[in-house]
Amino acid sequence: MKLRALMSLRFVRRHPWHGVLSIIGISLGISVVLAIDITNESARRALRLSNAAITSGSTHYIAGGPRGVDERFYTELRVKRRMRNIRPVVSGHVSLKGRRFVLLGVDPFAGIASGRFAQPGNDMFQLTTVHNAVLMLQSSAAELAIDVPATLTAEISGLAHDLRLIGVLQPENEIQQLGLRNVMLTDISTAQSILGMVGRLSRIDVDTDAPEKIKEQLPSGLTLIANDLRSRTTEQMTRAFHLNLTALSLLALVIGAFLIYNTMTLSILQRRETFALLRALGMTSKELFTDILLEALVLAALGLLLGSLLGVWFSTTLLRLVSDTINNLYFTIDVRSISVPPQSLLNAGVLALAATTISVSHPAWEAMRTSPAANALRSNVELEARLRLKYLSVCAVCLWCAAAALLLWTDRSIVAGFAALFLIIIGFALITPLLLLILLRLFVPVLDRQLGVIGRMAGRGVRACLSRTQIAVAALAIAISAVVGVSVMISSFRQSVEHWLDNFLRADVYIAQQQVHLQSGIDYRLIDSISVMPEVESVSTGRWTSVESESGVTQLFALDVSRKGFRSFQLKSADSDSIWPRFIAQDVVIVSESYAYHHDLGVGDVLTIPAEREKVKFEIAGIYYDYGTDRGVVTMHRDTYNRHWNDAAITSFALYLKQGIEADSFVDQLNQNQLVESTLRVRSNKTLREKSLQVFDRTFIITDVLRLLAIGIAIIGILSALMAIQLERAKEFAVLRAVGLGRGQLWALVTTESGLMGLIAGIIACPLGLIMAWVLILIINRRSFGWTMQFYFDPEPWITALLLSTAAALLAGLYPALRMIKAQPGLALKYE
Amino acid sequence: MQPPLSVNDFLRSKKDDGFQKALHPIAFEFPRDHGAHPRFRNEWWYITGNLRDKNNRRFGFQFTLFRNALSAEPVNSESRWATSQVYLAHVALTDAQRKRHYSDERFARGALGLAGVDHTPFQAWLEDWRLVSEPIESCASCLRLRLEVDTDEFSLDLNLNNTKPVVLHGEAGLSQKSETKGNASYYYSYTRLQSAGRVTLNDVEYTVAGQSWLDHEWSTSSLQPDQVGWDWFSVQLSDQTELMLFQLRHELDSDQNFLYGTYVNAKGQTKQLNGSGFTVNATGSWTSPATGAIYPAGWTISIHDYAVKLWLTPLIPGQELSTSFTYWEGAVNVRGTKNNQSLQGQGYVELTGYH
Repeated sequence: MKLRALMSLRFVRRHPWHGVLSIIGISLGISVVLAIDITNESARRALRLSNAAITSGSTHYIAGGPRGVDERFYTELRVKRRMRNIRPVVSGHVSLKGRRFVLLGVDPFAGIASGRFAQPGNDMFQLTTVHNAVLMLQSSAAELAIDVPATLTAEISGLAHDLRLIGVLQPENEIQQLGLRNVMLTDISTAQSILGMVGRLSRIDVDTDAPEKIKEQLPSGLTLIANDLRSRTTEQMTRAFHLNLTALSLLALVIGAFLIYNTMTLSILQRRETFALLRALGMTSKELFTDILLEALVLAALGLLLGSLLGVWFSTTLLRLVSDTINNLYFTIDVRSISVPPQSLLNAGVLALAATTISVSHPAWEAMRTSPAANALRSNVELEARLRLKYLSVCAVCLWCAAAALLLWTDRSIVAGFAALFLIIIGFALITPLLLLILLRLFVPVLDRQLGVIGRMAGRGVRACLSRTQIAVAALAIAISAVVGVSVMISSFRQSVEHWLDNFLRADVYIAQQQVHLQSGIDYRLIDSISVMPEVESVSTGRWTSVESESGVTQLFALDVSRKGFRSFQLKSADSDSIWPRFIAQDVVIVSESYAYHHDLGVGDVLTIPAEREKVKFEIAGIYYDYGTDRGVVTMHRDTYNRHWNDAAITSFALYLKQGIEADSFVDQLNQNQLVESTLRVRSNKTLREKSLQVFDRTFIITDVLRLLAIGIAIIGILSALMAIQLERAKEFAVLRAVGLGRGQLWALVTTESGLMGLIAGIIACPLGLIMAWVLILIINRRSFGWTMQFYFDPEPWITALLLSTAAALLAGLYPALRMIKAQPGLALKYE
Repeated sequence: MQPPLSVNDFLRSKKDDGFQKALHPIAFEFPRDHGAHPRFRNEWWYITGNLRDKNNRRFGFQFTLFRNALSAEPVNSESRWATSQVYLAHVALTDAQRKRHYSDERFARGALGLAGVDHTPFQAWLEDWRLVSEPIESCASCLRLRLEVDTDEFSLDLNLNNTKPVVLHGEAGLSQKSETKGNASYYYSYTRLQSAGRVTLNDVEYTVAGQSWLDHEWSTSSLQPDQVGWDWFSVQLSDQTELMLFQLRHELDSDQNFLYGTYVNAKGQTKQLNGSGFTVNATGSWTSPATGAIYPAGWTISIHDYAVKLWLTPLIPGQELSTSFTYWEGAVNVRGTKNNQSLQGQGYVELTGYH
């Protein structure tokens, strides 16, 4: 055993790049997987902690309609209905020195008995009596360089408010400490007046183990919701997003695994004579297999170590990108610290060892299987490689069939979507040898014509070493196709969004409240005064709100719109004119595509929404394209809304300007004359479109980063693989040099071979990339977010793919070519 | 968790800015003065009583509504939650037979109808705990109250009717708590309320009757910095007389304790007792298993002018309230002599500031 270990070690020392490349392959793959895992976990943890801190550990909460809960109802519950463990909450967002806080308005006296937010000493009393008094954690104050007490200027919905920091929150445990990081605690009366919610509550927190009893007592319009249900639904909102990141990171690991497979195969091939000798000397095939596996696992362990360090380092960068995306798409979270869960490290370890074992088991099995005499012959290996072609190609077709079946049989599973994608990719890897041979057959005549004997030799050289070249080409093709697939997906998505924005944003100027939690709405006088301006032709108004029910939160959009304005909704099946009469007169809604997808609803289905007085059934008349949110929106006419909700608030309005009036200058005019208060955001059609696309681009930065990482791994992979192949052929080249091949000719031969492999990989990557894009767009995105996107063909990724793969291959050929032409043929022959 | 409140927070404040103080005797007017006096920092409505059911099973009960003003000025805000008035209610029941003491408390701000005190007609409530008067047109000096309190373990539903007129303590209701001017409260009592109704304990209902006592007291600062607590006694004797005594204990020197009392004769006439008029001696002690505080567990009281000697024994020793404030408030049995004639009675004792 010791002797065998020494032999392995000596091989590694004589061929250090084998070891180094294996370690790089593993560590890069693992680092990406680990970084994504850590990032996802940290984001989830931040969400859970802040939920727990803000709900103060209550089991349920009572949610109201669009305007929250009428505060008088709280008194009724407490005094008349004798409910004890209930606490009123008024909350909203505040920004202080660029940091976003949740302003949590509580009634300290309702919480004392249950020990919620009770502060020892006089701080609690002062919270009630000192004007605009707040408390925050000592650590948060220190981070913002604030000494307690202090007067702070905070921005709330665009308006500056002076808050008085009178003391610090004293968390009872570390979980609270973490969860309260971005919380400012205040008295409920302060929260009501600052947030414009006088008379209303955001919710009523409830501790109960008998929710049914409370439900019976609730009047219509109010709903009792379990907190764990709410945290589940918030977590589910981002589930698809996290899953997508994980899948992309696994792709990096697959590419990394190819790298290991490639280098291990080469190192075994190189030692086949030694192995044959050992077998002849009596070493069993099992011992040989174990040795190879052990060698690989030692490399894997080193790669894992390096990859873990890299992964933790990557995750700090990724975390910012991921939380940006979550903030753009879903809700506000503040994730500043990464936590490295032991489970993530364990997962990474298992993945690294599994990937290594799987990638090395085939070459090790090959080495073990062959008889001692046959193993020594290189030609046998090549012969077998060609014999296996048929078998591999059949396997590939089987995998594709399995992928197709998986996609046909499953309807909504994202995991199944990704599984199918991976099957397709592996299938392509298996069929690469066949494609390689076919393409070589096509290319050799061309090369022959263009480059003469060198061209012919290059083509045949690639074919003669099929056992090595196929793997390198497959790895490169997969990496490049991932780049193509993701690029096509993003550009298709972007174009779909642009197209949708162009159609949807038909008004000239949009004015909206910066924060929807302001229940009071926009001042009507402002709307009136703007609508009578000579430049304005017509105005449509909207009310964004959300209704909570046991099944989650429904985003509602009540729109006072003209028939012309209604046409801006691009309906999937119906045409807007035909449903218009019903839309204005009946209990009819249109829902966004993602809403319909997530709730499994279609045109003609009935949707029940808890309205102010009773639950109302609305018929879905149409489904419209909307990329604004993946949670989905229910849109109804303002008249319909007014029939069921006693709420006249307007949160946004759009202006249609008269012919010839320029929107941007009109916006400037509104701003300059200070006609619009600063709580409102005024944007022209053009600016709104640009801002929306900026948000879109920011959202996809994370995807782009992962794509770049995949490219990086692919380039390192192809460099190493080709370098290994060409270095291994030193003896062959020495013979060629000895028989009279000039230095220039040898240079041309090596680079042509490399370039040829790169080009072929690029060509194979194109259809694979196309299929990947297709799966990502039509299957994964649909299943994750419920969006239908148009497939836009953009030649740019394909051209990039071909250029990238050829360039990477040529670069990889450079070093071996240089070494070959410098080498003394005699020496090379002697030592090989 | 540290208790968020202490007696000191409530009764001894650093700043009296803006609050009214009890400096001079005032003319009480009822029912107006049954109501709240928000310009003073502290106020309480306090009912204690001794009840028996038909099998002579003994119960003691206490219901207190505390009002505390967090600032002298009303809070200026458009929110209806804004207030400087905070209410706290304590309720307790002593079951002499099972030797158990039950208590509960609630807090609420004096806003949105969650808690408050109105005077005409008088009603005091904290959520669904209520003490409500039934006005009687023909009788200005009559007080008809109904107390309704419901907790997880027990509930009280009692009708309380005064059989004796209102008693003003101290100098026409101005009750000094130390020699310092302004360290005083306005303080009146109904010393004998005929009580009848229902006590429900652990889902068993008892029809009860007995005698209760109502205190109403408001002040801004009543404790001196060197006063650590007080012992308060209310005694209803079989000769239809009543006695209210308190001593405010000095932290170091018991000779500096501040004593005061009121003797009410059978007709309802009062006699003020100053420190030299009576003595109170504690006998025995009881250590609270919950807080470790050591309380006296019996007293002898001598009132020199009336040749009254009384022995007070708690119904049960453990009548400490496990609420945000910790204090002892319990029903007592009274035996004694007056001019060598034997006397019986019952009462309530309150002990604060024991550790």
